[in-house]
Amino acid sequence: MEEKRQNRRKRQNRRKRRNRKIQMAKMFLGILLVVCALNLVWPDREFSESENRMLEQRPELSLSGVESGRYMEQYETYQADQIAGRDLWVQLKTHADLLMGKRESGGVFKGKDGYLLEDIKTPDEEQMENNLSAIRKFQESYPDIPMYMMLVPNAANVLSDKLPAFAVTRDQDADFQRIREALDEKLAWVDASQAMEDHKSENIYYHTDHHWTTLGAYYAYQELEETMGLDTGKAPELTPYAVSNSFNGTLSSTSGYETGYEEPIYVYLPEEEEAAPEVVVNYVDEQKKTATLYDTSKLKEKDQYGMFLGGNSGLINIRTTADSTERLLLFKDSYANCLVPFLTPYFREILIVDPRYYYGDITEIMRDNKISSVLFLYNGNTFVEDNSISGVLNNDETE
Amino acid sequence: MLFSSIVFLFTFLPIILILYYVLPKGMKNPVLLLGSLIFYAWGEPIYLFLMIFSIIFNYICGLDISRNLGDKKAARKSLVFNVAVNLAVLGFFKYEGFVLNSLNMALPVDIPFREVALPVGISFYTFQILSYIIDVYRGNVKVQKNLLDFALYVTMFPQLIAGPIVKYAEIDEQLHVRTESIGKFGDGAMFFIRGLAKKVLLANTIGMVYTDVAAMAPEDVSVVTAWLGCLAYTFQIYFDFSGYSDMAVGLGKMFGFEFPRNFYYPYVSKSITEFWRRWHISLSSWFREYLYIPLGGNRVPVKKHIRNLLVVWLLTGLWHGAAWNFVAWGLYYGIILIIEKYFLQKKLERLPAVFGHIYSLVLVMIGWVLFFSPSLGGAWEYLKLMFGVGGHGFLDSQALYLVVSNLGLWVVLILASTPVVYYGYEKYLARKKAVADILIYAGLFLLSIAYLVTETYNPFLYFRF
Repeated sequence: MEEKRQNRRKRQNRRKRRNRKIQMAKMFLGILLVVCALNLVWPDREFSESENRMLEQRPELSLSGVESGRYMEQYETYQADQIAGRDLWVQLKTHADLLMGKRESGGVFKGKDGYLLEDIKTPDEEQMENNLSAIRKFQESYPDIPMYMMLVPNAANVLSDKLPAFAVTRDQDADFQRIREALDEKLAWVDASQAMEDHKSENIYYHTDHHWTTLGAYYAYQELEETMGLDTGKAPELTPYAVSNSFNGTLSSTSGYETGYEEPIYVYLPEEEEAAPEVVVNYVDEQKKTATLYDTSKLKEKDQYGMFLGGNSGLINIRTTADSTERLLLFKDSYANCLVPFLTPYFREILIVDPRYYYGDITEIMRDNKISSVLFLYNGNTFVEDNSISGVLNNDETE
Repeated sequence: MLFSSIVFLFTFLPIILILYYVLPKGMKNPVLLLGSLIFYAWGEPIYLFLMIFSIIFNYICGLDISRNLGDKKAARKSLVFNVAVNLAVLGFFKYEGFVLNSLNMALPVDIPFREVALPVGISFYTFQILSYIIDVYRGNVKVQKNLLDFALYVTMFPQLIAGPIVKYAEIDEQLHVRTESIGKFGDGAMFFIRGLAKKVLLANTIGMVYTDVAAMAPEDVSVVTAWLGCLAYTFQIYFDFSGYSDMAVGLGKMFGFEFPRNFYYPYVSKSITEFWRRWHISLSSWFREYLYIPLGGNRVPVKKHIRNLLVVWLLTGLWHGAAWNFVAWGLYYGIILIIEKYFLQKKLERLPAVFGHIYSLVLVMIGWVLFFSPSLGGAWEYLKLMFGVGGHGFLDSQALYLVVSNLGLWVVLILASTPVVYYGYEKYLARKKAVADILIYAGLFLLSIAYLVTETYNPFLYFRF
């Protein structure tokens, strides 16, 4: 009896195991089949809105490409980039990571209170030394023109209490101190760090973007006004207006976190319109002139921050009707874009150079435009990794 | 090509499966061979020719040795010639730079050389070929007269680039007669999914922790951080390598093959001797059969036995890579095994098991430091950090962050390193009906695909190097 029952049990188990394997085979082949079939009909995309980047396209077959293996590499990237339902796969992964405790993705921390914070970048020492020495030399060639340096700390530095538990970043204050010493007092240091620190409880950085908010820029502008000795009597009273309530920034795209988070973008406009100077903004490379500092068409795109000065251009020339003869030359990254509107009442002309996209001659600009002061305005992460400032400033030497 | 890639899963594998099962019996091996050559050429287009040369050369040598089997001297000559050529090819591609570099350092000479890129899988397929040649010489296997079947043995894509090292004797039969069935296929699919999940979900993700720690400046590394980095690597290499082996076994089953098991929960070992019975089993068994035992094994005087062990472990180290830290890593294990054999084993057995576990794991982790460091000096620096010389104190916020921000992962890694969860699960299934079973496997598969898809999502992953 006992033996019989045992035998039956064994047979049952064997059947069960076999059934299980057959089911697994069906499942495995089913998933392969479904994904392959979807892949065949899924259209290729050029650009991923949610990831904010260009996707790889089908590579062209060539003998040299196959021989070097480049074709195969491109093909692998192509197939992963264009797989059916890519956005869903990405979401699935991000959620699984969060479940495992991960709070960091693509160099972006998923901080507290919905804040995404870009990790503090490590300086590229050689490039930074080149940049700093080029800046020093540039100042020495124009000893009579006052020059200013404003480095803006990044959110992970100022809002370190918003970082995920125990997360540590590089000490950006120490890097700034080193840069300040390297400039050897040749440039007047505008202490944006203090300004940000004083207002850290306010909304001075976007939650989902690596930029500061217009409010953050406003506090830095107050510091700037003091250091540069600008005459505040000229400035009209400003009121903030929200121009968007649906901004989801690039940190969200690079990390995959908080992709549904929407936040406002403000611009600061004078209460009485006639109190402000009129402007003509000339995008020199693009050969485009407008009468406004804002490009509202960008609000319809993914990267709404581009509305400030229309994003990044190599050279922008702003002429104003301000009651002033001063002319400012501004070397900057995109942080400056939302600060420039605060400066228009003080200058007859502002020349804005973004060295990353500028290929012209700086000496010519200095000579032809009667520049009366120079400002360098960067956020820490861009400045320590920049590889274009020295090239632009040394331009006259090579020619 | 790698198994863990979208191209493999959704282009290569479906096509070869369809062809394999649609074509008649006589065409199955040729299709597998053709697929394997494409699989290899996908990542190594140029070295395909080296591999084809190897196949033809060894095919002819096998015939030659077998023809001479009656004449011991001639057969031996044939064998020595063949082994010398195979080792010379391996030596040139894998060790040329290392040897000349070391010579230039040690001697007042400066021999110029150009580093050649290592052909993927050459260490694996050379050892497979040698097992065939030696076994033909020993008369253990019949010579393979069919060139295509021999080529298939050498190139078979499931185990081509990362093992297991399948001895010819283990697969000889299967090259001619093997059965495919849907049940076996399902078994293979389960192996494959487990392996893929190990590689993609566990090894790759914990690998990022190791990469982060390795990239930190030494003065920022606390003792706990150093141990966490080493532990992360310990998990990464196990789940990476054993995941690959599982995928190989699984794919083999899908085509009707049975490959030997390569890992058996090595991190639960109670001694280093046991560890090496559970880690990369196909390699240890290759060295035992074709080197250690021919040298006399342990049936020789103590002095000779020690020599044998040191030779085997020196070469085991070198097999893993052409650098001094791999030599040190091999000898490190050789010495520990000698000590265990002659002194420690008995004492370890009398102590509570937990002591043996800790002892083995700590020694294995120190071994991995030798293994992952770029140089011996680098290994020494890292070990100093682990044992509190210099660095950033004992415990710091960084270390806590590494624990907390991977908490779930650490728990899964620990559980998956022991047989408890897997066998517990299987036992449970044997008694109860688990509807969730198939969903668990499907979930693991889908999640692995999601992680593979997003590899391009994050181009900054290895940017820090």
